[in-house]
Amino acid sequence: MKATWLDHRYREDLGQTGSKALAEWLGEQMNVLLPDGADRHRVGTYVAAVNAGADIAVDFWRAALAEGVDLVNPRDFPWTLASGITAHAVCAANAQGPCLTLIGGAEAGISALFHGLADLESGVVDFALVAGIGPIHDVSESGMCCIVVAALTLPSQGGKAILRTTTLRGDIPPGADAAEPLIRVCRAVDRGDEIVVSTPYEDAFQLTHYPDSEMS
Amino acid sequence: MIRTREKAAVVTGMGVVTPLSNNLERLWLHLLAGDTAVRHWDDLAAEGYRIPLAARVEGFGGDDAFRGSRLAVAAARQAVAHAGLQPMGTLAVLVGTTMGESAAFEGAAAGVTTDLTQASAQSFPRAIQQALGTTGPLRAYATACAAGNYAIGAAAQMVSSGQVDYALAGGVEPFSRIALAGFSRSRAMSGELCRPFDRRRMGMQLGEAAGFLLLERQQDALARGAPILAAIGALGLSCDAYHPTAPTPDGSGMARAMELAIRHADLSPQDIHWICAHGSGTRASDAAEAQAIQRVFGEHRPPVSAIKGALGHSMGAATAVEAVVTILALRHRCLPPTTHLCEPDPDCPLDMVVTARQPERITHVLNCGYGFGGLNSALLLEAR
Repeated sequence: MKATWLDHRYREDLGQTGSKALAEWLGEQMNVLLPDGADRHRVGTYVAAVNAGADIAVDFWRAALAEGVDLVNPRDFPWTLASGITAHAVCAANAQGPCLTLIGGAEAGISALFHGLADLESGVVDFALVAGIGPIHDVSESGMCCIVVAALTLPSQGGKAILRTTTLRGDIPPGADAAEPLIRVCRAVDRGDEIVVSTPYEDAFQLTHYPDSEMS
Repeated sequence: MIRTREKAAVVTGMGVVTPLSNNLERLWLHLLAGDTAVRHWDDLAAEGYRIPLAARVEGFGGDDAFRGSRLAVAAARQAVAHAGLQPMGTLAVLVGTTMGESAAFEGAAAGVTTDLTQASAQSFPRAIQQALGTTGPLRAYATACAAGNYAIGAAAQMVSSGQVDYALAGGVEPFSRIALAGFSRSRAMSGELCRPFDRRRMGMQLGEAAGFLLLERQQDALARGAPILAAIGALGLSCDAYHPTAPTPDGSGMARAMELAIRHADLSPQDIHWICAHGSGTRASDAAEAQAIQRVFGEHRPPVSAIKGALGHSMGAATAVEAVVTILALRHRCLPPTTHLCEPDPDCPLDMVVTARQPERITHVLNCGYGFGGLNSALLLEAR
């Protein structure tokens, strides 16, 4: 499988941000990355996250304990689900194709890439928006949260690079978070490097420059 | 969309933990009888819930922070044993759920020192892998109340593509006070019986459950003489991108998921002999689902059943348990009734299964599930 890497956005300076702020950013960037005229029925969204929604689940229940279970704000409830960030973002981007949220470490990030490429190859989508979200910290904690989103499209379209599955192995370390594979690829695209990303048991992906021979 | 047809992934084992029964055949008999596990709970009433009704798994320990993992492991062990497999080396474990170990989040909010990194959705496949002593890919699909279908469809793709030889796929949801409060405040809960597609339907009740399927390639199952229970045909996915909680009223997103599943299985709507509907019992969701079925099937609508009146809505586990029930229906060549349905809503003009029915033909069926955020899934299953 292979796909054209159209473009990407990433932030590594979002500490103590929370799920809602990350969702706002993600939705905005998804809209920016999609070309004008993209058929929104054929835009898939594939998000990998470490602990999306956990911060709001705890806050929601803290409020329920303080105010009573029948007084808690119902508008916060959808955000307690681990899919809450993705749900908000796809509404903002009007992306109506398959919409997946995978929870875990770097293997979830690799799986999100896999699902995006598989849906492009099988013709289900024309554009795959693949995102990775690092650990979201409680407001009482310090820490950074990386978030990244990339737009991929069919191999026949022009873009910045080619991403393909490969049998070569990469070097994502154990314990790396869900955003790590995509962040690595984004940096490689920005630098013009080649890179292989993989984790044990999941498919490996290789990024290459966009040689003329690959262009249709 | 995940294609699965070329090298068919087949189901050779199933396991469930549900509020009605943890045994496949007893669960089936309860469903045929129209039984329900929903009841009043004193502890929930004492905690101030306006509607203290739910379907909870009894005799399964307390509401500790790792209840979900224990439900998942119990159902997964059943599925492996049902398939007649000894503990195997490489096994993919794919689990659908909504938020992870809800009780752990509730405990953290109450000031209990809790390691929330052990409570995420990923904790469920990890717990299964540790309990079975296997290695292999682990995936946690947090795709709201449709999550089980996503996990099963992805597992079928992994198996049929040769990435793994065996996969355990399904969903789990431990009882969640966060969800009970959230659905109650969203006015989705009913203080009366849950009656999907009934004119008098008032809403849903919360459940908890786990359901898992053991998948392998058909040729491998035949080679080892395993009984093949059903095949995974295709999974259709779409997203409404319309509202955080409400479905598109015209059901267009749900319809696209069904159409994609049918198209990618190289079938036509007339080939579908039954639909195990999402059927949450809420006015908006059932109405949208009925419109979706009319859009896809026109005048040739297949029979429709919904079982959330019997088991409650087990959110991330719902479509997985319903996939198990769908396969039981294929095996028994019998359609289970829609629990508590008395007066089909004329605004939902479907061929509702009110009492158990034996169809003339049942080879291809759809298991449909929809979730918050407009996540739509339709899993096509084939008789074997």
